[in-house]
Amino acid sequence: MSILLTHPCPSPTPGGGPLPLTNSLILLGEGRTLGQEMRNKRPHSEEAAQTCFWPIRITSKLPDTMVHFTTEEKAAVASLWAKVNVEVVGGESLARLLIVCPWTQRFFDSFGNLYSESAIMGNPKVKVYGRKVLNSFGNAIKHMDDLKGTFADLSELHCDKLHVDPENFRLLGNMILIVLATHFSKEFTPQMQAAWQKLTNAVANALTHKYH
Amino acid sequence: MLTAEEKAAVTAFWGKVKVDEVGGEALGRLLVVYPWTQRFFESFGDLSTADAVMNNPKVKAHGKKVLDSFSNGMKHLDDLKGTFAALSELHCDKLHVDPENFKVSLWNPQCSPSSFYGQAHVMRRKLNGRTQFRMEKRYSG
Repeated sequence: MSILLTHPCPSPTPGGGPLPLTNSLILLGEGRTLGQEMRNKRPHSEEAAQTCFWPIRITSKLPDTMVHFTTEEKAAVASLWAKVNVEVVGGESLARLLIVCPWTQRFFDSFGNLYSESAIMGNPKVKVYGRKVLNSFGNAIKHMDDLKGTFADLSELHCDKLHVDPENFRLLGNMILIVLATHFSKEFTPQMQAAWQKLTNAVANALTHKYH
Repeated sequence: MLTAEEKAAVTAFWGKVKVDEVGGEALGRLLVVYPWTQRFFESFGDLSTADAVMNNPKVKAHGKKVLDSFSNGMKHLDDLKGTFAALSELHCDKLHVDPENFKVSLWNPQCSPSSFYGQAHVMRRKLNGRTQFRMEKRYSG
């Protein structure tokens, strides 16, 4: 991965103007070309160079940023996961997504009757697919140090074949949290919620990683 | 806008919510789960651990205040814009709160499990969306 560093102008314009920032980093994903960004952002005149920000390219490669889970977070996630009935929680999470965010039903045209809340909650295909999705989460929990690698194939599938807007991964993650909270209200302390929120966010990001 | 059925469902559900307790817990969870939000509450004292946050009296008091506001919104479902106008200005012009935080703060699934089900969830999400939209109104102007 390469990075672009935005460099503040050496002296602010008289009478004000943009406040100089401390150096800010723009991280670019692999495959993005820097050339276009450089051409767009290079100041076009001496005056502009004094008053605007322009990028400086740093050529050294940096490793991909990875989400790091603490030992406590991993333990918290694992302790709740051990109690989860994958079919029940998975099915209910997917059903809630289809009910609460009804536009998501467009991805499940082949699932039959999705015309009412009770139809969705009782739909066997929803339950099966919800279980499949949550089994994927179970896999994530076994590989919390390498979510991007774990979800690489699924990410490509959701981008290239299924054409799913990545925002839906976050929505489904939130549904999973809600179902966990309703099923395990005693265990779902703020710390537990924080650990699981971090996991669902990280899984959503990992699923988005191969999008282009 | 919410339909008559949606309003009835939300209002019925809200009747079961212990506003005093839920507000404080919701705000506490916000500060624990999304720690960057603590920057708005530097005067609240000890927020160093989850237990400190959840037991902090200022967090509980402010949480109750926020949820009372939500309750007020529930009484004026036909005029959320007017109801939240002053608060929207306050959060934009004085408090400088990123509107994204309204979304994460309203999304807090801590209610009695059996009540937080199905249609109630839909209504809540819709109400949250409308409330959030009205809070953001001042920012776009």
